[in-house]
Amino acid sequence: MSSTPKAQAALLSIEGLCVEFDDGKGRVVKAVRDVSLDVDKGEMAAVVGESGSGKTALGMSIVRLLPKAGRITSGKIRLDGVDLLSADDAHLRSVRGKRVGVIFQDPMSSLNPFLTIGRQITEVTELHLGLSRREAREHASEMLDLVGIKDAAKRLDQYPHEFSGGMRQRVMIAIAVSCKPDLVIADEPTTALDTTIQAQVLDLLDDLRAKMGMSVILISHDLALVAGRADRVAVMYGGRIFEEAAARELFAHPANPYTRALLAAMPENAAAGEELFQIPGMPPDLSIEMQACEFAPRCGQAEAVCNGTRPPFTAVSAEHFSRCHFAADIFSRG
Amino acid sequence: MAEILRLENLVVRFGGKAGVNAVDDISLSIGRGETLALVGESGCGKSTLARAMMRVQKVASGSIVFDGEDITHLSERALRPIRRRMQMIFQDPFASLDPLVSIGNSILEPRRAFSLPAGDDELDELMTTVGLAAEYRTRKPGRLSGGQRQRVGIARALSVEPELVVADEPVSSLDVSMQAQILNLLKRSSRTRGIALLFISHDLRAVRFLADRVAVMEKGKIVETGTTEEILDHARHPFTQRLIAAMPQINSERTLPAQS
Repeated sequence: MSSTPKAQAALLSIEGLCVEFDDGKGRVVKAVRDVSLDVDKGEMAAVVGESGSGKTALGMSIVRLLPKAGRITSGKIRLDGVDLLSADDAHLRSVRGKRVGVIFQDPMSSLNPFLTIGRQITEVTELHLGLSRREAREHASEMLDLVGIKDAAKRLDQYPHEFSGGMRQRVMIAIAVSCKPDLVIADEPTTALDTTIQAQVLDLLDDLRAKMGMSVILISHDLALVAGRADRVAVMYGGRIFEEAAARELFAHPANPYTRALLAAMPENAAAGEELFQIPGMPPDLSIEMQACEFAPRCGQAEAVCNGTRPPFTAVSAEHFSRCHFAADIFSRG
Repeated sequence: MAEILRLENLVVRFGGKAGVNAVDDISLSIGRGETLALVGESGCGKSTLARAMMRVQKVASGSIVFDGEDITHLSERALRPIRRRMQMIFQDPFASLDPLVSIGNSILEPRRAFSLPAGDDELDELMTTVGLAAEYRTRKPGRLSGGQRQRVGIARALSVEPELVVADEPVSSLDVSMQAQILNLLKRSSRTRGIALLFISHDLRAVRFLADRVAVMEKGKIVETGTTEEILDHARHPFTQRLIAAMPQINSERTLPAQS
């Protein structure tokens, strides 16, 4: 998609992003490698990958919330055409929380245990929207209503520990959307939650996207979780995007061996009485620069070329891209 | 199928007279070599039930019968040989491993505690079973991935040749590819060793793969039990139906595949 010209400019445009981390042992881990991704207005884009695939580093780069050991070494991130990487602190503050909301996996560690829920929402809207205390409180109460927390007026004065895990995640969503952001980055927002609560939280996010016209980047390790909701899916491996397509297209015609392996490893895809497909080997050591396909050592279809040449990100059909020397073959074989 | 464990009208109460029954009059049995999945939402009491049957949680009333013997009120001393025969695997293998003890010693520690032979042969066999390469023997858990740590947790549980293993959300914190490896390992090792497995999970996809039977728990009570096919394909209780409806699926139009 990023390589096809679009009639309408994307809301968020990431181009050639590279992120590095110091691993504390004197080595440099190249966590994100030349990633380009566009997110359109109102679109839900999913970034799917395993631990260490670079998906979280990608998400946090957008709001420049990388940990101290991390840095963006090259690339561009534009929000409505404005480059966020060259933005000064003041501009960045106006982006974070206001134009881009972030929802983290563990609400307990991102909510302040000593402040009431109400205060944690009003803090944001007083700062970014310039609301008075009273206006902010009223607005916070509406926000809790919006995310389905009943008895909002009373709940505003309660502390995070008085909320269940699912309710805390709703509070996080309320904070993230309180300034009606253009974009919400949700990093594994439901991983710590039960399946039923998971579905409710994702439905809520989807619902708010429609109501508020915002874009969402949903980061997850679970393909099935994003399947029913995302418009588009990017599958990451070893710091790179390995496949990207409209969700329906990606699940119906996966054109990358890694995507296929991930799908095959899911318990619902096991044939009766047979073992689950296991991806052999381990994820790549990202401190090593490879001139090869990062997935080749674990790929059942790897040939000599895969170990010698990095595969390009090629189109297998309109708006469907795969990083594999044999992408076209795999795609046409179905 | 002969029973390895039976619970009769088990009650666990939190908070005394004014409190709540976290486990509320539960009767349940697990056959030898059978995998029973216990599903429900967090806070429904599934972990408390597991702890009670392992005799690490005080029981208010009812009984726990292990291999025909009522163990509900056995003294810790009398319980000791039973403890070897029922083992537990936890969700967070990191929290359950001593960071200063090498993988090899960690795996053999339960055997030593029960005065079983704990030499290189035993260690090799266990590490091979769970798929840990020999070089991990001297490493500390801090250097392992989540999946590898869970393999250590499983090796520890298997090390004392148990007849019942309780696995509490053993794959919930793992990536899909790691999940597949650990689910395969649990299935293979419980089947080949004839171990009964109580698999506690909120992930019905994993349950379908692993379990022979399913018990559905809601607010301290078992609301439905049956074979995996009965429960997942023909759920009768509305709560079970809700759990199934919330299960993420690649293709939402697809109906669940009928098991033949």
